[in-house]
Amino acid sequence: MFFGTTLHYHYRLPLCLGYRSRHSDQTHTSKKKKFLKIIMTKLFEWLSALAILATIWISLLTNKVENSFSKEHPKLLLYTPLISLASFGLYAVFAVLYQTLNFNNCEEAAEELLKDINEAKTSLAFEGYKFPERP
Amino acid sequence: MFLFQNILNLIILLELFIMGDANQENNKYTILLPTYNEIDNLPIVVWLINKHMTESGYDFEIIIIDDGSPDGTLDAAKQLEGIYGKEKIVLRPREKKLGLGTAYIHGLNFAKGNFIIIMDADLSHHPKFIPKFIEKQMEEDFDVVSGSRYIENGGVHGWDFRRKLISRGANFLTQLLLRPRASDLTGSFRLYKKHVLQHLVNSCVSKGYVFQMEMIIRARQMDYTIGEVPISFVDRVYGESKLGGSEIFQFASGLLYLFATT
Ligand SMILES: Nc1nc2c(ncn2[C@@H]2O[C@H](COP(=O)(O)OP(=O)(O)OP(=O)(O)O)[C@@H](O)[C@H]2O)c(=O)[nH]1
Ligand SMILES: [Mg+2]
Repeated sequence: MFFGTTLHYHYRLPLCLGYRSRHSDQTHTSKKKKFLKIIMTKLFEWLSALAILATIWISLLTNKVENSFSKEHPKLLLYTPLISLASFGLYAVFAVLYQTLNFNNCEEAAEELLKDINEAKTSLAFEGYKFPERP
Repeated sequence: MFLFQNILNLIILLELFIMGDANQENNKYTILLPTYNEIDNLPIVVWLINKHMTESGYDFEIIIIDDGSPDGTLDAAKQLEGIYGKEKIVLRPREKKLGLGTAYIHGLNFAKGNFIIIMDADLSHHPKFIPKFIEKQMEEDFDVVSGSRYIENGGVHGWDFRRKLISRGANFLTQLLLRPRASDLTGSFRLYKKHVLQHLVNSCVSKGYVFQMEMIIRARQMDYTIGEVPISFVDRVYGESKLGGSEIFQFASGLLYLFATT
């Protein structure tokens, strides 16, 4: 969603830790790519993305890369990971709440189902279905 | 020479016509219905399937996999077999409760259709959606069509705030971690091409609840195409839930497993 958008599934890289290899040799997907397909696990994608972000952050922090930003706002830079994490957490909470409150309550579907059940019962009895006795 | 070409064209056209026609006519849809204590629901589900499939004119069969339900679901199934015939209703019961995942595999072994529809027999999956799944499949020749509660026009009925929150939260987390490009991973109302389902079943290792999630994730991984149809999920009217309390734990461990291995 926000990490790893540049990482993709079809690598021609050699095997290494965290990659899972698979020959796409099933007949059904033969129209697709024929080369050795290497799939990075989602865990590894996340770790790679985090490593890249951490590298950028540390190199800015330790001034390995010349820039004015880290000199002008050293505090802000230091807390950037915390700020991003907190704002993402906030976004997540609101997104889930919004989706929960707007989760469709299929009232009509439920009413329709009850009608269907009654229609089915009548029709089944007519066709000779014996409903079991209920205590 | 000109005449020859004309005849050739005509033959090709004729062939296309016949083949196109045959493609439509030869499709058969096998509906797998696993049941455990569904004596009240089964006759109604079967009646509704028959109604909607007959109305839309698709060739179908229903395979009922009952796991020795103590409430007599199998007797109900036998009655239905008598009413609708052995061609339409196929009974493939098992001695004892062996679980939902293996019930699908068991039923699949006997399927005569080139498409398989998987659904719950508890009326929370309404058979009226099956023709929509089929139309969707035909639109772009999808390998899998998945019913979704989370997209526009989908939804649930009979869920309180707590259950909706858990469902939405779990879905958010799944979308974030796995980016599956399918909106409903835990729903189990789906249509598959038969060979695709066989392939997926053979490559999935999870049991129970997580099985559905793994199937759709592996489908993406294997480059199968997935279409989605909005469905309304109405909580069961009759009978009681079999999956119960450990659901959240199962979901969490399944999610982590898929996160680390796919
Ligand atoms: N053959 C077979 N069918 C099963 C088994 N467990 C569940 N089922 C069936 O699988 C379908 C789904 O099970 P449910 O109990 O409805 O599970 P659920 O939909 O997650 O839970 P609720 O709808 O809340 O009850 C139903 O048609 C059940 O009858 C089993 O062990 N064997
Ligand atoms: Mg159910």
